[in-house]
Amino acid sequence: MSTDFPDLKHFLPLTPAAFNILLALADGEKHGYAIMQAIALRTAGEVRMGPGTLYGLIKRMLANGWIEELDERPDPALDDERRRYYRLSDLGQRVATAEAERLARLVAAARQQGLLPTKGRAILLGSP
Amino acid sequence: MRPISASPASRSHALILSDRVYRRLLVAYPAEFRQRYGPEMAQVFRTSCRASYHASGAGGVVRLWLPTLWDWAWTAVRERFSVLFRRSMMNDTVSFDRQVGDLVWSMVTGLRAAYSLPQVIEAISLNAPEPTASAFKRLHADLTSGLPLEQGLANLLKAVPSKHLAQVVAVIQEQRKAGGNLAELLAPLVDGILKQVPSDGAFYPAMRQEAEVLGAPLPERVQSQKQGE
Repeated sequence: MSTDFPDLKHFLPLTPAAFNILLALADGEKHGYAIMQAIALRTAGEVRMGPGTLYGLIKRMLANGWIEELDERPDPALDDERRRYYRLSDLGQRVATAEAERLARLVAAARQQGLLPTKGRAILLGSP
Repeated sequence: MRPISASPASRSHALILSDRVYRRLLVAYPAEFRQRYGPEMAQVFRTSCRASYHASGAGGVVRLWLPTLWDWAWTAVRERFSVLFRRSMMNDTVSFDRQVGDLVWSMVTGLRAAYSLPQVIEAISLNAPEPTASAFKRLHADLTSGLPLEQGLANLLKAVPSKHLAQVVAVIQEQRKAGGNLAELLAPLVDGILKQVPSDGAFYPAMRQEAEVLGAPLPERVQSQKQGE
């Protein structure tokens, strides 16, 4: 019987929408609309998430323990007190990192196969 | 993030109508989901409408509606299916309850034989009959993925809403807070549960090999069942 903890492979790969939500929360707590805006901004409008997709994923991420809902509500003078704020949990942080590493390995493989310019060439060409 | 303040534009007919229609559409979601997330979803949509209106006028609101309708239709169906799936798990709960007494006995046996709780959970996931095996496979997968035991047990209870399982989970959680020998804390539950819900007899044949390897004593009910074979 094994007790190999933790094995995050069970969760991977994440859907692009789930990974984008974790990325949006990586720099701090946000409410639903702020998460949607952060994703639209980060992906230059390529990924636009509707409220159904967003809250369906939030529900599953809360159940998986990847994100947490903040107990404290914002000051009604500064923000709408009906808004709920979410933040990344330790487990969510590890899941996001594991997915980022998985994607980085894929990009490295694509580079090795000549599908992407090599790093030096990418810098010369001004690519990120 | 600074909220988008209400302006005269927000009172426009397009915005009021959009808000009203979207709140009506939320009825398509299952009640539990709607009650928990509906107000937030409506608020997010309202804010998105205002932003689109400020950027592009009523045309922007119309363009926002197209992907929103697709999102609504697809996710409402998905959430409904998720409720149906959970209901089928509820039916499994009746079968699960008829294995809980034997399940607790197996846990006690494993713990007395100096296995850790994660090891006992894994053994049950591998050897127990259905539906216990599937429920414990998921619990084991949760734990090996790094989910804390408390959260894994909470997920198990959500999937299998059995009051007898809830008793077991409460004992485990209490033991983790207050300490003590978990096997001896769980052992008194066995007879009580078996008296309330007779065993379906599927557990003992499935776990017999493990029990014999451990030289584990069988509870009276199972022993009499064995003698009757």
